[in-house]
Amino acid sequence: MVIVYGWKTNIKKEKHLGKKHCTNCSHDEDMFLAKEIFKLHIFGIPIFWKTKRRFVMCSNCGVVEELNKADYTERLKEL
Amino acid sequence: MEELEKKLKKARSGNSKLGIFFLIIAVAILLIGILQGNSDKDSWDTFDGMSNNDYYKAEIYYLVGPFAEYTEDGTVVEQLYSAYTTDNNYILVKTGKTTDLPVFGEDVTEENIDLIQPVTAYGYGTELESEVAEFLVQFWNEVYEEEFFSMSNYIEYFGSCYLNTIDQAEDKVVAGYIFAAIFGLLALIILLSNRKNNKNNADILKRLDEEGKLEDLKNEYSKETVQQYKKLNLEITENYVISYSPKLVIVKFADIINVYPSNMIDGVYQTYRYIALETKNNEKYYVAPKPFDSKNAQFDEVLEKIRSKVKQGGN
Ligand SMILES: [Zn+2]
Repeated sequence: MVIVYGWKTNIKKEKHLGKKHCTNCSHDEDMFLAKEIFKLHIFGIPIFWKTKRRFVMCSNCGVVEELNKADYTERLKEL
Repeated sequence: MEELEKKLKKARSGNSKLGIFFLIIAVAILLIGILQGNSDKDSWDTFDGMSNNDYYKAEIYYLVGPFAEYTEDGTVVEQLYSAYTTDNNYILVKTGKTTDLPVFGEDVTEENIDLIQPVTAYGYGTELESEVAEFLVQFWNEVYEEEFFSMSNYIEYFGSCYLNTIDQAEDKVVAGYIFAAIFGLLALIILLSNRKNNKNNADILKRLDEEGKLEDLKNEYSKETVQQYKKLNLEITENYVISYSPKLVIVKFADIINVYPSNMIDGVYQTYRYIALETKNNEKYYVAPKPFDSKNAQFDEVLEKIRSKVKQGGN
């Protein structure tokens, strides 16, 4: 029997922070609070997942500022 | 220092060789499959009742039995018969649930037995298990109504192996076709992507040539000052950055207006980190891939190097 398994990394954008100037790529781009989630799946069903990192994400260049869990949660709650 | 074009050619031919190698494997498997499968079965040796692990044929008048049946969930799936052959001998034959071979008592009777024509059976010689041989002995002793056959003498009359007509090498041919198809597909993917790469590379050189930069680059490339960053598949000459991965990119520092590390390629998030180069022609290139988590001192070094070169070029 063939066991179909694999893993992938997903990005979950959790909050839109608006257009801002990115300090990394110098573009004015949409910024998000985002999580990178590592998922292990068998037959397409995720059996294990883990948040690898939390960050402010620039939609042009990706990660801009990595945040720890506390800071991330705090910024998620901010209006 | 190698010449640039030679190096590009070498990188390409490596890919082509793999593609061609897969293609040859595919064709070889296909040929072997066709030769084995359709190699007309008539060239197979005549089954002698004692040989196994190869394909054989047998000229059979009729089957007697079955003396054993294999069942699965209560239904018969395979049957073992004794078969009377043109050598005036009995051999053992395995068939599926039904068989096209004439069976004594059904297709063959006392009346038509003299008119019966032999049929050729094909199959794989297989050792008869002794538990099953007991059924054979029992079957024939019942036919003869005496204890004539025994576990110590049945081989003299029926042989130690049976001809498995379910296995006529067709599965192997099908498996061969599947393997050939897989290798063929791999070869196709490699050769096509190679062609695309070649075109991309040729276009880049053509454009450099049109912009009058090619001679310049070739000159620089032949000098000892070219810096190699093997882990990143990248080279830096006096005025150019050359990246071989994820695809060939050659950019002049003077054309670059923005340099930054990026986790995105054209808006799609990557688990690799790249150095993004934006040019004054509004083009964006991604070079120097490294897995996000891995520490690679060369990455930071190259990033700084390009930044300083771009500054110089801008001044
Ligand atoms: Zn950015």
